[in-house]
Amino acid sequence: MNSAPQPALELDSVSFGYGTGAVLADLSLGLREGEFVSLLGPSGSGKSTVLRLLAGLEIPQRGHIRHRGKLVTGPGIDRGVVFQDYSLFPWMTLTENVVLAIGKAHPQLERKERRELAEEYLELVGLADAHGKYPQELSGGMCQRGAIARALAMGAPVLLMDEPFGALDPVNRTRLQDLLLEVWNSSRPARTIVFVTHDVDEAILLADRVVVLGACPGRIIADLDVAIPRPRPRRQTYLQPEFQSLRKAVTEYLQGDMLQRLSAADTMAEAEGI
Amino acid sequence: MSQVRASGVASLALADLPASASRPTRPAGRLTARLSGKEGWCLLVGLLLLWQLVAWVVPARNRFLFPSPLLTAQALWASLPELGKGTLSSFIILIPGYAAAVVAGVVLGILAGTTRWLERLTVPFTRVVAPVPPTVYVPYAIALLPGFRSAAIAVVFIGAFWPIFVNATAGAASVPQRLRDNARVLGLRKAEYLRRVVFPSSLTHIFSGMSVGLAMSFIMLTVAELFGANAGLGRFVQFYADFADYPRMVAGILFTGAVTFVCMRALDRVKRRALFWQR
Repeated sequence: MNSAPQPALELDSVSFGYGTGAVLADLSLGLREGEFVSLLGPSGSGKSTVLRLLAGLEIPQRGHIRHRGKLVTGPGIDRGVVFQDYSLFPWMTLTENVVLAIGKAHPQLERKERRELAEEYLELVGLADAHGKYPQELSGGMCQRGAIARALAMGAPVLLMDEPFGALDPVNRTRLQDLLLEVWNSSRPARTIVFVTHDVDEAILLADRVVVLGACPGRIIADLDVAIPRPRPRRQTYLQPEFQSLRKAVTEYLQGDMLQRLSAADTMAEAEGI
Repeated sequence: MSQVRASGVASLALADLPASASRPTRPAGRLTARLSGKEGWCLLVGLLLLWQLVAWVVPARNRFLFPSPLLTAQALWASLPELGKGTLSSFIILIPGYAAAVVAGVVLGILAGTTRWLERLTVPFTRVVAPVPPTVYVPYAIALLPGFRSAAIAVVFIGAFWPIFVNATAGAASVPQRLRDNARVLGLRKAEYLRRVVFPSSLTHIFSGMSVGLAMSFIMLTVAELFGANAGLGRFVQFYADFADYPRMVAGILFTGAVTFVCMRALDRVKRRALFWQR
């Protein structure tokens, strides 16, 4: 594991809010090159906002975001994004969607080369037969495969994933987790991945590091290394004491945050005489 | 019960009648089931029958003012060559005027819907000018422009432009956030974004504007032709009204209606093709 001092991706005392409400308060986080980090938290913890900030879709009100030392001021093709749903344009076929992304990332390629490359990536994610299809002709799982193929095809060193498997059934979710790990393992240099989820098992199974966010306003309440060797076959990994203790720790952090918020809400209600 | 369900909404409404009506309900249910989807044709046949009935009642000396369906059909048959030529002449005005309105309305609408300062520039003007009934421009357009044809094309353009422009602006301004995010993440340039994301995403709005615009075009066309044409569908109606040849006039009205209907249907087809990804 490489432990360069310079973080690949960095949030430096970032604050962000919509209107008057603070979503994130003074949040700092650094990611190493090639690291797989899960961002875990309840709804309202601003985990998706962290991802949008890293993607450059939102600009922090205070603090800075840097990618390889360079200030992030907007979206860039050096950071691929996979959203939970609808990452593909419905009026383009799967291939056209990927070709569009390739055209932006590799403008020097000929039309035919872009097509071939797109089909290669679609094959990689197991969509060899579906490339002429439109997103609405495909299942949710297949669409997410397509979205992953698109992000990979852009060749970005950073992959930002916002609950990418959140809308999938358990079987598809498992398959796509395996696919993601396979792709991440096989590419050199390894991509830096930020993976937002609210599923504790998923967070631990996939990541090198689990960052737990607390809600209202969003802040980091735990930052845990996952010292489980890879590959991590599902069944054995779930039984490992390391996995179980991590799972327990993460769950306790999340529950602690929830109880704290509940009691805060109770005190407020009492103060207001409800 | 399954029969009721199969025959759809119409028979469900009948089934709600009081108990005394329960016996007649069943055959009526079957009838509505058999006719479901053909209600429009039933109305058409009904109106035709009503027309024939009224024509019978009308006293003989007024038969020419209120021609029977048969008389009208004869007039229609006899006028078909003239109506064909008229249609052609009307289309020479309609097609360039409407096409120009579609292109200008869509392009300007998409720009106005996505560019803040353009939106601020055009919205107040649009609010004032768009609701003006475009028929008021007809006399001045005829006076101002060289020749009837250019004047008619201009008023068809004005009539069709506003609904298309207004709808395209609304469509372009309401591109869903997820699509905008996607485009930004991919780093699309503005021109690419407008062509490959905003335009397809606005198509639903654009097509509603285009159907209102098409109906408007026909109104503008026939109104303009009433003023100064020497050929065309509106002109045909006006001409035979002037000569009190009402069977031909009614035939002209029906024919114009049929042409409008065919054009609207054609647009609907195009729409369904273009929006295939919405189903």
